[in-house]
Amino acid sequence: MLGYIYSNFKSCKGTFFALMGVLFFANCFIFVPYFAGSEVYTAAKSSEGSSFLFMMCIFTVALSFYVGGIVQEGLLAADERKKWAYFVVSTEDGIKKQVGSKYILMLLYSVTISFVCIFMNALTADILGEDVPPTSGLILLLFFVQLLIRAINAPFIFAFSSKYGNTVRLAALLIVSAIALVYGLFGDLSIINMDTMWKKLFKAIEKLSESETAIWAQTAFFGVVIVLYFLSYKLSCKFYLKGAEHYDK
Amino acid sequence: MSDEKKLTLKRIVIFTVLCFIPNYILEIAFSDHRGGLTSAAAAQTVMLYPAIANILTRLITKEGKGEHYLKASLKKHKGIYLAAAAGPLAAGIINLFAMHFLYDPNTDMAGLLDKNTGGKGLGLMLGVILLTYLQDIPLLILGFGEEFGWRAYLTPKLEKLMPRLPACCITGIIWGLWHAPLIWYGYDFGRGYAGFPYVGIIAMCVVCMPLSYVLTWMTEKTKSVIPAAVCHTVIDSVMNLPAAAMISSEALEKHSLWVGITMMGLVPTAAAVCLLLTGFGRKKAEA
Repeated sequence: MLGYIYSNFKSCKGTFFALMGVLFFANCFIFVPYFAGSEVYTAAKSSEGSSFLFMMCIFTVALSFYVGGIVQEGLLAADERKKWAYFVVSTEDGIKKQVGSKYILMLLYSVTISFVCIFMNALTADILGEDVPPTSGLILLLFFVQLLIRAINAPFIFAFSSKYGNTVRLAALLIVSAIALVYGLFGDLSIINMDTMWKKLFKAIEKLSESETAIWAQTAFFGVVIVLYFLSYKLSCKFYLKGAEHYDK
Repeated sequence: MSDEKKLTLKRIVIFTVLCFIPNYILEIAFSDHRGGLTSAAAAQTVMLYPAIANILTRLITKEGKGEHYLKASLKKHKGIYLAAAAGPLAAGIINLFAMHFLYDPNTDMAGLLDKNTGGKGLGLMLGVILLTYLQDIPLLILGFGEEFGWRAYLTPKLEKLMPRLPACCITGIIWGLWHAPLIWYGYDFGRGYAGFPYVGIIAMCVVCMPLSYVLTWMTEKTKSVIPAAVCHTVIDSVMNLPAAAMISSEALEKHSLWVGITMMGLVPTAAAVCLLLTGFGRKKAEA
């Protein structure tokens, strides 16, 4: 297995280091208003300044996970060649090792993204002389959300190859977007109030580790994600050979 | 001394220096003088320096990857993985009862738990423990950072010069001294004990020895540093939760040195004695 992980990492190391660069760059966005001399940062000791820093951290964390997700998908699509796939199949437990190595690397990518986000938020707060915004709960939540998305996404890519898998996924995304559009046109939009939305979001993030319901809900959600991730791996192993038929030579 | 032994010694010295320098600089420069750090970013990175030192030493001394201890072998050794994950919680519960009888016998543990959890009691406590376990998955990188240095590099190198037991003891001493700047200001053992801070630093070295022995057993048994990384991460996050919720803060403060020693040393010492009796420590030096 370690050999497969090494091989997969080697073939994607360019994108991995690019990811690291992008993560640092994305997290440095927080400094833009600071270096521009924006008053919200110069008044950072006020609650408004703190809220602004919190908001920027939420933004950069979400951006980091989004970019990381794209890189993870690139990892799945790497080495989609019939020759390699047939070689993998011919080796003992080859499919399990090949698919497993991809799942382990995706997990390691998510761990890296989480760590960089936690570190960069801490560094930013240090440089600005502020308390670290309580984003660690959000980072952990996004870590598991990202694993959930990969758990759903990966079997499609393994079963239909990245080309067809992405089409299937796009179709599913279009259906969800259409439902959201219909709700946007005819549904009740009073819940989306931009004046209170950020305040509600800050409160919800802070409450993640305080309320008993939130703690149990997170525990259940994280547990389900781990089970789904494992089932997704099993499913991908089953579909690997089918997907290989769609690969280029 | 043979050339090979000299080279091993040189590697150990380089590794130790590379571990200590960034750690001491950050922990002294950013100390809040109460056992913590003023820089959150520095606090995030300190556990990674042993792993970085492992990689750098291999590069500097042109050693190559050699025995890297990175293979997981999860299926073959799932019992050890399970023990690595569940052991610290069991140790935390044993510590809780030991500390209750030794330092805090008059406190009503159930009442204190209710008070500390806002009346929600064991339900919330269980939820927090389970959530902390799951949250440890992305934080495994921190436990790995230390273990990849101590257990995957330093101990195997020391084992080339001496038998396993003294090798683990020396790793424990180096590991304990590595924590010295924090303990100097009151980390882990507080400040109110006789002989502060020297006794605290010595105590840290002493409790790190059996812990090092147990973690080395996990690493050598599986030929992987991952169970030790899991165990270390869970020790840092989960092990102290039962005591924090059910031992009064007055007792924790009054007996801070002994509380620290009990928390980190009681169960690892018992486990190390059991392992010694089974003959794990009798491995001879390789070179």
